[in-house]
Amino acid sequence: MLANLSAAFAQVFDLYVLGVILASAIFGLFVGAVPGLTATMATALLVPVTFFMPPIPAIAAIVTATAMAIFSGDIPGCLLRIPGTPASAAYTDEAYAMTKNGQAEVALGAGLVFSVIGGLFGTLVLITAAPVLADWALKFSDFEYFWLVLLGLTCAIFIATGNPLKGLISLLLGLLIATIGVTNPAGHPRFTFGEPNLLSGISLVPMMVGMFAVSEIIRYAIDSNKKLEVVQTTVGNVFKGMWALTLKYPKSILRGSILGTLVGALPGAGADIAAWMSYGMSKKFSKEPEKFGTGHVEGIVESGAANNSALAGAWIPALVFGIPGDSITAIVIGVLYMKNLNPGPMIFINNPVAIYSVFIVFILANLIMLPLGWACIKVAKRILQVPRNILMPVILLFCIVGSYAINNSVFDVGVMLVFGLLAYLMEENGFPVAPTILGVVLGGMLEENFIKAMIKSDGSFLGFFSRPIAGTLGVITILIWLSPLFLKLWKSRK
Amino acid sequence: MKLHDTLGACGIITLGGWVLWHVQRFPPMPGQKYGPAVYPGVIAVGLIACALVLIWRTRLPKSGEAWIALPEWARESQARVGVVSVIATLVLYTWLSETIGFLPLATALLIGLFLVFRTPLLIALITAPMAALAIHYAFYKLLRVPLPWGWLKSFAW
Repeated sequence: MLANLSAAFAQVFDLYVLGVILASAIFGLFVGAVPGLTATMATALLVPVTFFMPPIPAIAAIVTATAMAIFSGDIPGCLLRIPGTPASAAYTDEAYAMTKNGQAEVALGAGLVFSVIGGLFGTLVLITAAPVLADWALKFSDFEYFWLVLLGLTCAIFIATGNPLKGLISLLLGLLIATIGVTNPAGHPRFTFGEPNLLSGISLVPMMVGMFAVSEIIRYAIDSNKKLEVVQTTVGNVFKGMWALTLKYPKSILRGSILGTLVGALPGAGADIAAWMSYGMSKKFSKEPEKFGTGHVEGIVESGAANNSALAGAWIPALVFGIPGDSITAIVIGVLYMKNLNPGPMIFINNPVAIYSVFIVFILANLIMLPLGWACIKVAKRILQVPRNILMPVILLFCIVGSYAINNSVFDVGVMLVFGLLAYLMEENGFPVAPTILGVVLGGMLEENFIKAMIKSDGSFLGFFSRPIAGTLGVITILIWLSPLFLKLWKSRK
Repeated sequence: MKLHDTLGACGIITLGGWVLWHVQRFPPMPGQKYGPAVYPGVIAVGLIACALVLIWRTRLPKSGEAWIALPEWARESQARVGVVSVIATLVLYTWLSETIGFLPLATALLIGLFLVFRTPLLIALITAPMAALAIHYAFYKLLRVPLPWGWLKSFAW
C-alpha cells in the first residue's frame, strides 16, 4: 500500500500535473463566477482538452475545475443575486441580502471556508468508503449489476427530478440513444442508417458539450439584452470571523457535509439538490429560523459545506460501480473509459495508484481552494465585468473545435448542434436533461448485464431475484417505482 | 417552443412505434434467444407506456390553449436573431469549414456573432481574429488537432 501511495504522490506532485491543476483551478473559478456558465459546462468544455492528456492530469483537471466552480458560483450570487452555478441557487437570496446589509465578506468567506471543509469531509468519506464498497462489489454478478444500474437510474428520476414521469421519458430516450451503433452484445449495427460515423455510436463528448454548453449559449442568445448590475460594496478580509462561525455552527457544518456526501452519492442527485436540501434542513433545525431570508449566515454555512461535499460523494458510486452520482461524474466516467481506467471494483485492484492519485487530487484541490478562492474574490468585480457578448461567441467556437477534436470530424459538430437543440427543447417542455445523459452513459452497461442475466436465468424474471443482494436491490428498486402509488393511496386515506 | 404534453406524448408514441417496427428487421443472435432487437424493443415499449400515462394525465388542451405555443422571446427580434445566429454558426461551420478553412471561417463567424450580440464594430474586428488565432494555436499546435486550412492551405504552418 505504501509503495502505491508513494507512487501516487509522485504522479500528482509532478510539475506538469501541478501546472494542470493550477490552470484548471483558475479556469474553474472563472467559469463558476460568470453567470450562465455552470460547473457541468466547465467539465464538458474541459473534456476535449483532457482527451490529449495522460489519465492522472486529465482527472485532476476535472476534479479541480469542478470544485472551484461550485465555490465561485457563490460570488455572482452574492454580488449580483444571480447564482453562478445551480449549486449556489439555494442560498443566493440570503447571500445577496447579506451584501445589502454590508456583510459581503462574511457571506463570501463562509462560502469559501465551509466549501473547503465540506469538500475535505466528502473526500474523507470517499477515501474510506470507496475501497470497502469495492471489496464488497467484487462478489457482484450480472444480476446485482443489473439491479444496481437500474436502482441508480431509478434514484435519478424519482429523487432528482420534480416530475418522475418526464424524468423517466428522458431516461428512456438516453437509453435509446445508447443503443445506436455496433457496440452491443450481438455486434449488430443498430439505427446507423448506413452512416459510418454512427457505427461506434453517438460520441459522448460532442453530445455533452451540446447538451450542457450549446444549450446555455442559446439561452444567453435569448437573454443577451439583460444587463448585470454589480452591487457597489467593498469586500474586506473574508477570513475574519470564520473561526467564530465554525465554533458557533459545528452541528450545521457536520450535518451539511454528511447530507451533501450522501445526496452526492445518490445517482442523479448532485451538488444543487444537496444545497437545496441542506438549506431547508438548516432552517428547520435552526434556533433562529425567522432570520432566514434576511441575510443570516447559518444557511450559507450548512449548504456551502453540502454542495462541495456532494462533489466527492458523487465519485463513490462512479469509481466503485461505474454509476455516476451526478451529471459531472457522468462525464467523468466517459473520460475514465477513454483513458482505459474502466471504473468498477477491479480498478481498486488493477490500478490502485490511479485511485490513490484521485484521492490526493481531491485533497489538493480543496486545499488550494483557500488561497485561490480568496484571490478570486479579490478580483471578482473584474470577472463579473467580463463582457458576455464577447465571451459567449468565443465559448461557442471553443465548443466547435472541442467537439471536432475528438474524432477530427465535422459530423461531431453536427451531433453537438442536434443535442444542444434537443436539450433546449427538452428543458423548455419540462423534461430534465440529466437522466438522458445518465441513460446514454449507463445504457451499454444496463444492456450487457440485462442480456447476460436473461441468458443465465433462461428468460425467467424470477432468476433476477435468486441471489440475496440482487433480490434486495430488486425489491428496493421496485418499491421506489411503486412509491408514487403508495403515496397516493396514503393521501387518499388521510 | 412549448408543445402541449399530449402532442409531445404523441411524438414519443410515434418514435416508440417506429423503433418497434424497425427492430423486427434485426437478425437473431445465433444460438441465443435474446438478439439485438430485445433491448431497444423493451425501451420502445417503455416509451410508449410512459407517453400513454402522460396523455392520460394531461388530457386534451382546454379551449384557447394552444397545441404549440411560441415562447415570449420569439416576439423579440434581438432574441430571434441571436438564436438563429447561434444555430447558423454551427450549420455554416459544419458545411463550409473544410472548403474555407478554420481561420477565415472562424473569424467571419465570430465577427457575425459579436455584432449580433451588439459588440462595437472595432472591438469585433480586433477580437475575432485574435480569438480564432488563439484557439487555432491551442488546438492545432499544442494538441495537434488537424484543423482544416482550406483557402489558406499554401500558407499552412
